[in-house]
This record gives sequence, structure tokens and C-alpha cells, in this order.
Amino acid sequence: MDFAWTAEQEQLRETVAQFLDARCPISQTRKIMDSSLGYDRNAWVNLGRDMGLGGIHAPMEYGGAGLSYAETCVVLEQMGRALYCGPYLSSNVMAVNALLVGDTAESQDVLKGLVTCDQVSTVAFVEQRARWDLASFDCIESNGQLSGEKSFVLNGPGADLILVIAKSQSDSGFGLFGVRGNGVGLQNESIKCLDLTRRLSRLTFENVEASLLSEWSEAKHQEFLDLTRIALANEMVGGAQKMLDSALEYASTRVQFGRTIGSLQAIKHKCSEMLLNIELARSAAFCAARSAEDDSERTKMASIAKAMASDAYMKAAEECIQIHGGIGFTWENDTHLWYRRAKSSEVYLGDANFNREMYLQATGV
Amino acid sequence: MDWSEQQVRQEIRSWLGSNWDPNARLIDWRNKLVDSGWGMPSWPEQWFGKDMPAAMIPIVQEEFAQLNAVGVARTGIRLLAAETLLAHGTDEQRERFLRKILTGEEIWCQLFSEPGSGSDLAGVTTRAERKDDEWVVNGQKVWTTSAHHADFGLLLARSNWDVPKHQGMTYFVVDMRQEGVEVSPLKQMNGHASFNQVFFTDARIPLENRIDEEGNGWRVAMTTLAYERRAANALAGDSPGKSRVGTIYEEVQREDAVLTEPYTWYPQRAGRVDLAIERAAETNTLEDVLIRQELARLLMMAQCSEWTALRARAAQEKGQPQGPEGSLGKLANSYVARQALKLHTMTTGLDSMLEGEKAPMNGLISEILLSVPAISIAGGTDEIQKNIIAERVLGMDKEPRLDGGPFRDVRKN
Repeated sequence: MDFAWTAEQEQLRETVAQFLDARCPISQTRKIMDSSLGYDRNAWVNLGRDMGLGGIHAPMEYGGAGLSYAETCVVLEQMGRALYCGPYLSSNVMAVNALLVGDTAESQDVLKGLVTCDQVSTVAFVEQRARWDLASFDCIESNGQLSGEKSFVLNGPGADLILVIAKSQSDSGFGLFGVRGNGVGLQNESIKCLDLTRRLSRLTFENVEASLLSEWSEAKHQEFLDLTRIALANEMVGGAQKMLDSALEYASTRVQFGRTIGSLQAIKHKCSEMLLNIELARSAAFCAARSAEDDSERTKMASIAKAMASDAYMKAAEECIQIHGGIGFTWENDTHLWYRRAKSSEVYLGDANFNREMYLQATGV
Repeated sequence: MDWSEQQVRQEIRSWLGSNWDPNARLIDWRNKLVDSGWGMPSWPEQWFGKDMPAAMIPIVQEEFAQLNAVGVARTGIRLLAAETLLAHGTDEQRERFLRKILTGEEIWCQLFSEPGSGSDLAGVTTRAERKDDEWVVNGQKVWTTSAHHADFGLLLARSNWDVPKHQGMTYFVVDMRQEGVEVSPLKQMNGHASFNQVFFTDARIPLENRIDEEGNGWRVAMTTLAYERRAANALAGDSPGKSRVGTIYEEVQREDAVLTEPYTWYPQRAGRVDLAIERAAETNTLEDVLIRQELARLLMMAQCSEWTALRARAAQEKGQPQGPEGSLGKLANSYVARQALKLHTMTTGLDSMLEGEKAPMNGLISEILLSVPAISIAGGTDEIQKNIIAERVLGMDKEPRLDGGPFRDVRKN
């Protein structure tokens, strides 16, 4: 494995960073996070359709860019840094992944609409019990109709198409189903969430019309979860880096006792430790991004990346508030917005403890 | 002369072909090697080298490894001494010392740290005074490796107390085999004695053994330390599996044994991550959820630290400026070792109270428990490391200092 990003990947990072800084600065995010949709749909369409980032790792015949998952992760890292609030992770990564993993003619048709950003989609899988495994899912399809509940659905509010992983009564297996966002019998309830820049839905299905897109197996489910963990871990590393940068900026301007607080060893040592934690997590996220296509390594890499990122991001967010002192605890200061994202991301798809155990099992210990 | 890869390979192969003899006397072989320039090919032609670009060195090493041919002496700090002399010495000094460094006939030690100046190396107070036609040295050095075997020492001493501290030091080569130099072992908390204390009482240094100008000692010491860091980053190993039949290997083995024996505990200092799973299985704790968590933490940290080092190397090879990854390695090693210590204690349980032959793994576990505290101190404490990272990597403001002005007036231990 080559242990450096390529020049093209660096270029992509730069392009995305510039776009996000110009179009989605935190001042803007603060305004739209209170709007009914929660994000700027135009900016999302610009990113996905006009800049061609709507399906980076989707094959070209389905309208994608035909690149690897590593490029997708480069984009997500920048989104984590900028605290981007659009449905990129949910629609252009998770939903696209579910369809690619499904890999049927039906899912390919749907894929094109997502890659071009004509439709915004998301994946509904986890339920009220908050477990990630297939066996824990009760939501069930019978004669083309879904019944049950799904929760913690990322960017669920406003989704045009919801991909649901549910039991299938006909063959007692599982399937990936497509459900229209305005389907009859579907209740899409926006949940008040800790993370103000990433909406969640609770969905209730009462005999909602659903079309089977593909069979869903344990192996497919694991692949889908692993890919999502790798994506999220890369996004989290970007967020953690932002927390360090923000702390450093404040420490270099804030003066107490006639000196910048950054000249104090207590602050220096905090920042050095943050950097160490972030670089270790970055290495894991980087290697995981490069291993996403490798069936034998994916689970191991996804779990190490998610565990390291969970701890590093949360710690960085806590320390960033601490270094800001009193001002860091105010609503007006932006740090809490990243802190909220760090906390939500920490527990989504399993916290660090959960992923540590998964890592041991994946390495055969 | 410009070297091509092909040319280097051909030349070294043919030279070794007609000269290498596993039954030669070690000293004869090394002298031949030194004269040929193949012992240190990257050194100047004038000084036992071939002016070869560093990129060609691996080819030479490969050819040596093919035949398992013995190289120049490398153990201890001898090469730091040699590089320092190449950078700052006079031709007379190079003439006098370099050959016997490479042949292994003379052993060297480094006299920098003092009881009163550890992290703050520039605070040395060992005194060098010019008296008539020689220098007279008084003071104490500590944590000196191999001082009891050494023929010569690289000495950093204070020669001027009336200037700021970094400007008042001078660098010398001191003859260790003289009255006035007393070496005693320093016993560590883990029971080993791998280092020495060195006491100077009117020790003598001839004028011609001053390295670089008077007052330039700090600059010369920086050269030595830079090579020390580089050497620590690039440890070349032996080539296993190749035939080692010949009398010359017995001599090499004896040479190595003397200098490496005191450091058998170094792997334990790093925490012995390699034993983690094995120990959990042995102690029937591999099913314990708390142990599994700590084990996973350890394995992940060690794995990520390795990846981070590889990222640093890849960036360097691409000619990118060194990123933060490089300076973090030492700090990461401390954290890994401490986590390993925690896990070994958990798996070993009450037996952690035992030491010696009857203790778990014949005392190896107790040696880990008693050696890990060294890793966050030796070669720069974690706290100094964090200061360096903060100031040089993160660009944070420097701490205001209280040690300006004439060194005489600076507060000391």
C-alpha cells in the first residue's frame, strides 16, 4: 500500500475545501440549521451534480465518477472539517453504497437518480432497539407492503426515496426495499437531536408500498456497515482536525497574565496530545479508505478506523471547549456545534468499545 | 564520480569476490575494508569513503548481505563520533581517530548529560579550563553508555561562564584512560546497570583535542544529536538465514556481546506488545471483557503508530516537507508502552507482585513492569517532546525564558 494521498486526491481535497469554505461557511450553516429542511439544497446539487461528486466511487455506467472509495473519503474529511450539513453522507455515500452492495438491475436504475442528485435518499436500517445487526430488525415486508418502525435515519426529513433494510416475509430472508418519501402510510417524524447540523427521523410504516431492490444477506449487511463506518471515520478525522486548528488559533491570540495562553505548557501539552490522537486516527481512517474494496480486510479496517476516530474526535472537541474557557461554553461560540457532531458520531454505528470488540473478532482474537 | 546502480553493484560484487574471507582476522579485514572505501561508501573519498550518494548505499548493503560479509564496526556511539569529526574536526583529528573507529579497535562514549542538566542539556556545568598548554576538566557526567569500555569520550563542557549559556560551551575528545577520569556503574530501578557515571577530577585534554572553536560546543553537540536521532530511526539488522561459517564471526560475536549485553531489557522497556495476546491466553483472561477492551486499545494504538511512521516515510519520499507524523513517533511509543504495562498487569494479576526466576515468564513480566517507566524519559522526556511538537510542529508561542544573560547568574541545581 502506498502511504500517501496521490496528487489528484490532494487536488480534490483542495477543490472541495474551497467550495465548502465559500458556499457552506459555519455562519451560513448556523442560519440554515434552523430552517425546515435543515440544509441548502442548491449547494448540495452544485456539489453532487455540477462538481461531479454525487457518486464518486459509483461506476461510470451508472453516472458515477468511477473512482475509488478513497476519493469519497477525501471529500468526507473536508465535510467533517466544515461541519457540512447536507445529505451527502446519507444519500451520496450510504444510499449509493446500499445500492452498489445490492448490485441488481433494479438498484442500478435507482442509483442514477441519486448520483445526479435528482433525488435525495437515505438508508433506514437501525430500529428503536439501537442494534446494528440484521437479526435485531423487526420491520417486515409482506406482499409488497412494509410495516414496522425505523429510527435514527440520517437526513430522513425531506428524503424523496428511502431505502429500507427489512425482513421479507415471503422467503424469511432480508431485503433492501425502496419506499417513496411521500408514500401512503409512511410517517416521517423529525426527531429533536443533539447534533443540530445532521437531522434524524423516526419512520413508522403501516402497509407502505415498497419495491424490492435486492436480496440482503449478512455479508451484504456487514459490507454496508463497514463502508459506512469507514466513511464516517474519515469525516470525523476532518472534524477533529478542525477542533485542533480552532484551539490553536484561539491559544495564539488569547492573552492572560501578559502572555498568550498558547505559551503555557498546560495548553501546549493538551494540543500535542490532540495532534497525536488525531494523527493515529487519521492513519487508521486513511488505511481503511484504501482497503474499502478489499473483502478480507474491510471489517478489521472499518472497526479500527471508527474506534480511533470516536475517541480522537470526542477528546479533541472536549479539549477545544476547555482551551476556549468560558467563551467555549457559550451558544454564540461555534465549538459546541462540532462537539454535538462529535458526540453523535461517537455512538453512531457503535462506539469505540463496540468497535474495539469487533476489531478483535475480525482479527481472530 | 557519478555512480549508476549497475556500476555500484558490479564493482562491490567484484571487490567482495576477490577480497572477502570469512576466516580472515577481523582487524585485517576491516583495515582492508576501510582502505577500499567500501566500509563507508557515502563518506568522502579522502576519508575512507567513495563519495557515493546515499541512495546507492542499500545496493552495497545488499551485496554484503548476500555473502554475509562483515562490515565496519558500528556498535555503540562510534559512528556519531565519526560523523561529528567529519563535520567539525580538523584533518589531523580525522587522521588520528577515524580509522580505529571503523575497525573497532577504539571504543567511544558520549559525555553530555549531567545530574544537574537532563532535559536542559545546554545547562552543563562540567568545567573545562585552559591551563598552560592543556585543558583541565572537573565535573560529573551521567547516563553514559559504555564509559567503562571506552577509550575516548565526546565531551561537552563549559569553558566560559560569563556569556549566555548556549555560547559558553566547548566540545572535546577526552582520553578516558587516564587518572582523573573515574567511571562507576549506575544501577537502575530495574536492577540492571546499563549506564555509567563519570567523574572528572583534573582530567587533562591536550589542546589539539578541542573540536571546532572554543564556545562552539553547542553547535557541535547538535550535529552529534542529529546523527543520534537519524541512527535511532534507521536500525540496520543482520541478514538471517545466511551461512555464518568462519572464524571472523566469532570475533564479531565477542565484540557485539560486550556492547549489547547491558541492554537485554530494552525490548521490555517498550512494553512487549508482542506478548499481549499470548499472555491473555496463558492466564485465561482472553474472554474477560475488560481485558479485551484494553487489549484492543493496545493493538490498535501500536498498529496506528506503525501506519503513522509509514505515512511519514511516504511523505518524505515524495519530497514533501516533513509533516507532524515524524515527531510523534517517540511520544506514541511511550503511550503504547504504558498501555502494554497496564494490560500485562491486568492479565498477570496478583502475580505482578513477584519478581525473579519464579515470577511469570521467568521474570520477564516483572522486568516489563520495572522497565517501562524509562521509555518516557530516555532520549527526551514526553513533556519535552510535547513542548517540541507544540512549538515546532503546531507553531505555538515559546515559553518566556529565565536563563538569559551570563550563565554565571542563571539559577542552577
